[in-house]
Amino acid sequence: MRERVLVVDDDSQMLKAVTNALSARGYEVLKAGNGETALSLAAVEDLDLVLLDLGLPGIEGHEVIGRLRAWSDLPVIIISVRDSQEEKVAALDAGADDFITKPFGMKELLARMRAVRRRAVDEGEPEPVLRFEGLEIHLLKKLVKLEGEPVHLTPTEYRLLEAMATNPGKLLTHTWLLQKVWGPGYGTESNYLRLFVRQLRRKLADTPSAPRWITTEPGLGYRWLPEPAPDSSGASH
Amino acid sequence: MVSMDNFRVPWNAPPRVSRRVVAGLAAPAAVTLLAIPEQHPSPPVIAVLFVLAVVIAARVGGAVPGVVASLLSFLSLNFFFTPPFHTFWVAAPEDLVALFAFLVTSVIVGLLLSSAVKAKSRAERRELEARLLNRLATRLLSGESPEKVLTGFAEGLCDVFDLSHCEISTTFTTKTEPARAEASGRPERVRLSARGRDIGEMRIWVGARGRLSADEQSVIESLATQLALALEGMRLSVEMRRVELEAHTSRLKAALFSGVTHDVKTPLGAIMAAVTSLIEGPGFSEGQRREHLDTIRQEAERLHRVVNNLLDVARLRAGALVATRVPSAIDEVMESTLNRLRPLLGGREVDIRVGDEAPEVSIDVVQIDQVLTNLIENAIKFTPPRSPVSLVAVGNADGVRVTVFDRGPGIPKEDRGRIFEPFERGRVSVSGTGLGLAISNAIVVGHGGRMWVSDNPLGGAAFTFELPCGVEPSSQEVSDAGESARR
Repeated sequence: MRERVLVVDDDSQMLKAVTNALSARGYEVLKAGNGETALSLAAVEDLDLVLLDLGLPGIEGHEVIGRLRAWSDLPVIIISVRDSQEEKVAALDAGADDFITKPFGMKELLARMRAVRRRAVDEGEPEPVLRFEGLEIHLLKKLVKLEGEPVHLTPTEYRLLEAMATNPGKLLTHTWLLQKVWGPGYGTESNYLRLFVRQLRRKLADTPSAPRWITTEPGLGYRWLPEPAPDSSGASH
Repeated sequence: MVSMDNFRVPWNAPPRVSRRVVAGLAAPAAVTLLAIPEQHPSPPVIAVLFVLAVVIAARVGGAVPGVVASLLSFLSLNFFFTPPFHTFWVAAPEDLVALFAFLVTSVIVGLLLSSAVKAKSRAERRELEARLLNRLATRLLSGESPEKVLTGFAEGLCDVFDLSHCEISTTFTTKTEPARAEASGRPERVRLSARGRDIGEMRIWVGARGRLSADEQSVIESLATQLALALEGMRLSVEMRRVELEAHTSRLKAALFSGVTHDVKTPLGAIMAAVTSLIEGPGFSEGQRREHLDTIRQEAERLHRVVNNLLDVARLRAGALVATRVPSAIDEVMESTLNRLRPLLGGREVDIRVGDEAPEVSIDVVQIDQVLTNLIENAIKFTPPRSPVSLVAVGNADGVRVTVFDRGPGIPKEDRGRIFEPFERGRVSVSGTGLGLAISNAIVVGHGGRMWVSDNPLGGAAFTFELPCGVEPSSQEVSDAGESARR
C-alpha cells in the first residue's frame, strides 16, 4: 500500500516541489495550504505522516502540532526556515518527531521520513540482530561485531548503542537518551552522555567530523546515521 | 556669580521713575534741612553741600533729576541762606552773581555726570549683550537641545531687562513650556529673521514696570538679530551634519549593495545558466547532466550561506541577534560544522584537535556554528587548494579558545584590526560580502568573548576566538557587590 503523506505549507512552489518529489518516489501526497485545512484533513483521512511548515497563515505550526497531539500520535516532521535552537526545541517539545530546516535536500527529507515511519511501525519487539554495513548488533546476546571483529563495550555503552541503533535516522534528544539508558531520574546530565558517546565512537572507530555511525545535532542530541541493511529489516514488514 | 552654563548676569537696571523723582527732590531737601538749624551758616560751605546734592541726584537719577536738583538747590540757597532770608529777594548784587554762578555750575556738573553714568551703563550693557550672545552661541553649538538653550536665554533676558515673561519660538524648535507664570496682557513681539528668512519670534511681557524705553527696545532688537543669526548657524550646522551622515550611510549602503549584488547574483547566474541549459539544451550525456545538477546544488547552497549572513546583519542591526545559550561541548559543535561543510572541502585535509581540558561552555550552538562556518569557509576560500586547515580547541577553567589555522598568505599586521569591520576583505579580492568576520566577531562579543587574528607559526593565518564558560560571571559579581553594599 502506498504511504499517505500530508504536506502542509503556505508556499505553493514549495508544496509543488515536495509533492512532485514524493509522488515520484511512490508516496500518495495530500496538500494543505494552512493549519485549519491540515487539521481537518488529518481528522478524516487515513494518514501515515505529516510534513508541517511552522509559519502558516491562521493557526500557527506549533498550535497545529499541539491540537493534533490531543488525539493523534501521527508522526510529524517540521519543515521550516526557522533554524534557531529555540524554535527546534519548542517544536520538539510541542510533540514534533523531527525537524528539518529549509532549504533541505530531498535525500535528507526522505531519510528522516523513513526514520520516523520506521519507529512508528516498529514499536513492537525489536529485531534479534541489527545489521548495518560493517556492524552487527546481536540484541539477545548483547554482542557487537565491527567488521566481523567483536567490540568490547561496558554495559552502559552497550545500552547507549542499543538505544541509538534501534532508532536509526531519528533525532534522539539528550533527555530521551539519558532516560532510556540511565533511567527516568536522569535528563539534564548531557555532559555525562557526551562522555559515553565519545567512548562509543572511539570503540566503533567513528570520526565525529566525518561520521559513519553517530552524528551530533549540537545542543539537541544525536542521530544514528546508517539505515539497517535490507536483509535485516525486511523480515517484519 | 557668572558661569558658562547660565544666562544670569549681574546688571544695573536703568533707574525707575520713582527713584528718579526721589533723587531729584530728596537730595536738595536733605541739604536744606541739614543747614537750616545752623545759626551762622557759611554760604560757601552750604553752596558746596548743594553741589554735592546735585551730584548725588545726577548719579542716582540721571540728567533730569540733576537739573531739577540744581534748580531746587538754587531756590533753597536763595530763600533760606541769602539775605534777606526767607524771601526770593537778593540784596547784594555780588550774592546774585554767586547764586547764578552756582546754578550754571551745578547744572553743568549734573549734566556731565549723568551723561558719563549713561555712557558707562551703555558700555556695560553692550558688554552684557555680547556675553549673553557669546554664551548663547556656545550653548547652541554644544549639542544641548535648542529648546532648553532658548528657554535659558529667555530667562536671561527677563533678568537683564526686568521683564515679567519672555518666550522665544522658532520655526524649527518645538514650543517650550513657559518657565515663569504666564504673564497677563499683550506681549511685545520681536521678529527673528536671518538672511531674509523669517525664523521665529520673541514675545516679551514687560509687566509692572510699564513700557520698554527706546534704548532698551533697540538693545533687545539688536539681541534678537544676533539670536536669529546664531539660530540660523545652528540650524545650518545640524543640517550639514545630517547631510554628512546621509552621505556616509549611503556610501556604506553602496558598498553593501555592490557586495550583496555580486554575492547573490553570481550563484543565481550559475543556477539560471545550468537550469536553462538543461531545459533548452540538446540531449546531454548523463555525466554532463549530473554536472549541471551539481552546479545548481552547490550554487544554491552558496546562496543559502550568503542569505544567512545577510539575515544575521539584519538581526544585528535590529538588535535581534540574541544568543539562546545552553551548556554545550565545543568539540561537538566543531565536528558537526565540519561534517556539514564536508562537500566544500574538496579533498582538503581538515583536522580537529581538542585538548582534554575543554570544559562545557554556555553557548548558542546555531550562532557558534555560524562563526565556525565563516572561519572554515574563509580558510578554504583564501588559501591554495589542498593546503591543510586545522581546528584546535583548548580550554581551562575559565573557558575555551578555538583557533582555525590555515596555510595561506596570512593577514598583514596593518589589516588585522580592519578585517573585523563590515565590508572589509583584506587585500585579496575574492568574492564575499566581507560580512562574515564582522558577524562572527559580533556573535563572539555577544557571548562575552573576543576574537583576533595572528600568524600561524607554520605560515598562514590563525583566527582565534575565546568563549568564557559559566553564565555571565560579571553580572554575578555585580549582584554580589550589591549584596555586600546592603549589608
